[in-house]
Amino acid sequence: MVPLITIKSQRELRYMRDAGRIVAGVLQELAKAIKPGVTTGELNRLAEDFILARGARPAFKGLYGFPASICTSVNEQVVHGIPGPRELLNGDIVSIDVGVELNGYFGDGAATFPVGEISPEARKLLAVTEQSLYEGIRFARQGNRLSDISHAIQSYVEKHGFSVVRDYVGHGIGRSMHEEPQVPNFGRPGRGPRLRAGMTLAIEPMVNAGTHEVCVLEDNWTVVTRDARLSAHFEHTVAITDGEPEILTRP
Amino acid sequence: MPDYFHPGRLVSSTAGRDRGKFYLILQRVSETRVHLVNGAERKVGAPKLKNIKHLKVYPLVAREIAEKVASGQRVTDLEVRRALQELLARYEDGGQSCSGKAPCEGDPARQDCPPVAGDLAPEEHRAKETPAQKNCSSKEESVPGG
Repeated sequence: MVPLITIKSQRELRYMRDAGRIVAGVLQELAKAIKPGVTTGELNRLAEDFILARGARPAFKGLYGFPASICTSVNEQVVHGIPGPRELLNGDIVSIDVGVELNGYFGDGAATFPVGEISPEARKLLAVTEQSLYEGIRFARQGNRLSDISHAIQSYVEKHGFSVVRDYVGHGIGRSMHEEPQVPNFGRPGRGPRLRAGMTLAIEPMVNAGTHEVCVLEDNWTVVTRDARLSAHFEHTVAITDGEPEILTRP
Repeated sequence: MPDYFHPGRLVSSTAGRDRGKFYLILQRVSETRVHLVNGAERKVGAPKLKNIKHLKVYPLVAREIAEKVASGQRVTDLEVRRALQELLARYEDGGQSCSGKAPCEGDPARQDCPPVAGDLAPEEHRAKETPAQKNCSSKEESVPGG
């Protein structure tokens, strides 16, 4: 069974760059706003205003029924946290996941931010998760296999004593938010489809401080770590090229 | 946003003649449609095409199926049937819901893990989830991480 992975033209990549730039802008804007006392609902409003002001659409709103424009996942929340009245406290970490649609093309990016002063373990978790994303991106090259990315992420994370979430995966992206192929953050190298120039992937390691097991809260969205330890999430939309991989979610 | 509708995910039909039936996702076909299998009347060779609007998604994934599909290996109907049976057993046992029995599975120290959300409304539940999680955490310190 061969998954249908779309190859984007230069023109399509230009559109995706435009969408990606807005994603990066939202994350930059929210980085400035994140401090103790701010609510996740306020962050959602800021993000939505930023996206709409640029003529784009918050892509998560309504996607599979998700009720907000961004996902805000605090501390033990892994992904899909719904913004609301929860106030961020000094020492929290908050993962912001942003999706944007512009001119029919999508961009998807995420980052985990510290709120005030955070513990050394949390700081290490953020640093390892972010670096694991770049370790994965290094393998997003024409000719490599998809699972080379997955393996690079898993190896880096586990070398540092953390674990990668298995039940949620990265994905292809382009004219839809979720396209083929799935991009797991774990697995043996040398498997899966061969990467070709023009493929666009959302690579997104979700890394837990403790067990990789997760469960879902009663709202049917918020994914939390089963042992209630911290979790971090970083993501870029990346284009495979003839040479170096291109990160599309850059300012 | 990570993909929910990826291979191996447990889903059930909410509309159509097959309403109420459980399947595993075999493959995403387009933004809105997926191929579903159950290894019996919907086999790997002739999967069911279904709009994701008409599916209920469960927080349970058959990892061996997911890994096989991701690496391009062939999945058999027998494997699908076994994986589906196993996931349904886990689902009936509380699945991956934080408030079910499953979070305490296999570890005596977790047996009395309190439910996280109970019957609270989403807003109310959100405001109270952290203490409940912390409570759960304190009882799980003996569980090795990673």
